[in-house]
Amino acid sequence: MLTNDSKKKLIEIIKSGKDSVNYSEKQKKDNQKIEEYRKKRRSLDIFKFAIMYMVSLAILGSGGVYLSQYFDHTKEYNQLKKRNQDLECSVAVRSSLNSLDNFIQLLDKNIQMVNINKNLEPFSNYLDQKDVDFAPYDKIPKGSPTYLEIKDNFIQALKINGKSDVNYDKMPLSQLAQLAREENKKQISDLYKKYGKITHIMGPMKAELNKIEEIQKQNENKLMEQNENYKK
Amino acid sequence: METSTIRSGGIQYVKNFLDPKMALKEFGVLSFLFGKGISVPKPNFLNANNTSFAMQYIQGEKISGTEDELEPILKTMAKYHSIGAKDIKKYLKWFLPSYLDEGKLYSNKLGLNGNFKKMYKKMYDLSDCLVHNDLMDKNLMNDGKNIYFIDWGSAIYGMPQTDLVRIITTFGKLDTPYEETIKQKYNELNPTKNFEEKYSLAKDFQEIKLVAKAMDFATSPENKKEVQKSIELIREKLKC
Repeated sequence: MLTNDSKKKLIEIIKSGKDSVNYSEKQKKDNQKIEEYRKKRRSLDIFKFAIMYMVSLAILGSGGVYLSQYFDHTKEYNQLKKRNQDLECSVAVRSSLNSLDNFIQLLDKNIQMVNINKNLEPFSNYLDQKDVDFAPYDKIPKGSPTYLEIKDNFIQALKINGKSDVNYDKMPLSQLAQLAREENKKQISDLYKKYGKITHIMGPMKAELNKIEEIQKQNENKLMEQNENYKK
Repeated sequence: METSTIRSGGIQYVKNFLDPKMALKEFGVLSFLFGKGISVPKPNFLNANNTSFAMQYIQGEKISGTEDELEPILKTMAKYHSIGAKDIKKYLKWFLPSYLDEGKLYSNKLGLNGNFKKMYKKMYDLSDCLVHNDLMDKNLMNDGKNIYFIDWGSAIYGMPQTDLVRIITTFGKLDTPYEETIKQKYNELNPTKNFEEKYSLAKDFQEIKLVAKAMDFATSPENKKEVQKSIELIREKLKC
């Protein structure tokens, strides 16, 4: 395309141009450029590192906060759970004790009702007495059906609550009544001692409560029957 | 830009770059060619930022331009030109430019369009090997035993004739009776299809490159005029 002359001239232009450039200065400029570039790069690297450091710190920090919150929550949750359990237990104990009290009262009433129903005449004097605990068991004639029935009731109650190996048959009625009452009080105090501090009581308590409820029901049914018989 | 330092294991030649892509390219090409047994300096380390790498320091001088040197140069050229296009595409084409990149650069610089575009697109289609693209005396080091090809910074994926034209120009044999003999010698070493067509394309392209380079160095109005003349000549020839 180009003639040889023009090529030669072009090469001369390039050569003269190259000669006119001061290479040491050019190199210096190049080196400066490189230094600037490296500085920029280094600063960028530092910036990147700083950002990464901050981000990782933030992640770690938030993770730590989350974990501490989690542990706090679990601690609180466990405490609440325990408290709740305690409350449940105490409520259960209280309700069971209440029912036990009721049962004892019912038992007493039952005994008295039996007394009242079957031996109205000899005990009519004592019907007005408010405190049924002071029933004059000593005045009931020994060996009479009333005496035997009352005795049986007491012995049954004592066998449920008290010791099974004691011979209750030979005891006088008043002593039996007193024993039954004392045994009941003991039972209640024992229950308070046993379950007042709260542990896992639901199993044994429930079994006992079921027993109590059954007896209660039986007694109620008996009373109802007796009342109905009495009305007739 | 380039410094040499002494490290353990001998003198290392350290080359610094502004553009990490360039460092990666040259290091990649050198590693590839060293692996293929071409006489190039052994590449040793590339730094983490890809801004500089160290290579074997060649204790020699640039070629003096005697005819004894021409034959080993042609042999080495034929050796690296005959590496399969598959290998080059697989390992090097990631960072090797092509005639399309160069062509766009010169068409913008010299304001050439139309036929010039067709020309460099055709050259791109005919490309099938790794080309040094800057084979001047400065980039060929003779240490007494071997001739080393250095400075692969401007390597492209192209036609072998580009290097051939450049080396014939370097030896001052272009447009002389010796040109044909050198071409023949090369063609015997590395026979290629459409040799003449490719050679003429490479020659034209080389002239355009020369003008573009002269444009950078032309500062005085006279020189500028001369360059402008050459550009017009090219336009006339290419009809664009």
